[in-house]
Amino acid sequence: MFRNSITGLDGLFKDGDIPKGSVILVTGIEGALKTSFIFNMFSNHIADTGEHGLYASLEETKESHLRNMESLGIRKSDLLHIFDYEDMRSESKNEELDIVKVTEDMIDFYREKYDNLTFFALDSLNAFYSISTGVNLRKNMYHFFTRLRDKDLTSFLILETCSPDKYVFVSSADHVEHPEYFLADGIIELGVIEAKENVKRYIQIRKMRGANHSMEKHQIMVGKDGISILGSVY
Amino acid sequence: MSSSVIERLDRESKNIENVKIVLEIEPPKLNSHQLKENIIKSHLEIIVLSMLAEISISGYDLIKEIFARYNVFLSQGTVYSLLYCLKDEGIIRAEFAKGDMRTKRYSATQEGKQIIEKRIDEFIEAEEYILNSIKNRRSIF
Repeated sequence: MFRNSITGLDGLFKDGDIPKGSVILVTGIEGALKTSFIFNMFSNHIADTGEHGLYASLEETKESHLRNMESLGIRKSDLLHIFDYEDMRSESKNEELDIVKVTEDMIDFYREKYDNLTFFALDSLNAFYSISTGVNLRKNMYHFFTRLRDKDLTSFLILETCSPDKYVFVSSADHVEHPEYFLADGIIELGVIEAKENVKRYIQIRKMRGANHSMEKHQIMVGKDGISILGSVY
Repeated sequence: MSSSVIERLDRESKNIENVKIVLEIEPPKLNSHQLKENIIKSHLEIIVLSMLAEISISGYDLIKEIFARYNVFLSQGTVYSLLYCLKDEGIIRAEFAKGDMRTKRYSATQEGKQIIEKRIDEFIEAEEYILNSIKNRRSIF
């Protein structure tokens, strides 16, 4: 159960959980703890279930990523496998990378190696789009999402947003620009609320098909043992 | 993989200067390329291990080298995943190439060499057993 993997996360669900086999978008501005939240959730989930997980990092090397997580008190389990694209990108130089195929082959490799590989994270979709040379990649995301579901993985795709305006669709053109929002089975938003004298980080489940969840923003904090979620921010 | 990339790999693989591998045995002429590809993919770990026991090589050059040896093109997603797993298991190590901080070269660790030797022996023994049983069966007909 993912809802028990972070202290306080179950408070965001009235009943149900993040459904197995779903594709979840994790959105938010820089510094909102998107990466830390997912990594912490994976590490704790592994400790509870003994399942294997795969974390694909397009933005950081494995070493840098682990250093950052350790500084937040989050330790990696041996059952959590990290794939960083850095070597491939630097060695391939200017050659075109079919990032979708590379990613699917990578997932298939780990699924074949570890029978109980059940969850996957891609950090981040922004980098995924920027590396890809496919002009219609965004339009083709439907197929990518479908194949992730076909692999029977619970997938978390991190998407960095520039401003809160990005979260709100005001016209049908936005759906074409950001198809991942309606293709995803769930959207978890992390962000920052600035008041007069303090700044709070929050987490909110904006959408979760198959689960009855709260729409409230809850405060999220980092302690010496990682992340925990408190009550409503208001 | 576009045909231009394959053509480029083909050209480059014929001119690999930094990989000193001499093929002593001519690869068997298999009728079915698909069959060869399936064999390579299903035994990829032992093939890669046997290469890394001999040489130090980057992931990119490893893909080129496998293409040169077997005419089979492997995805970066598969090859780099395998290298990372072998590294996590302590069988191989990664070091930056001299004067090139962008390229990691993989080679067997001291402990890994013993593991590789053992795995190759077991693989050959199992393959010989299977091949012999097929050959013996064929001789009956």
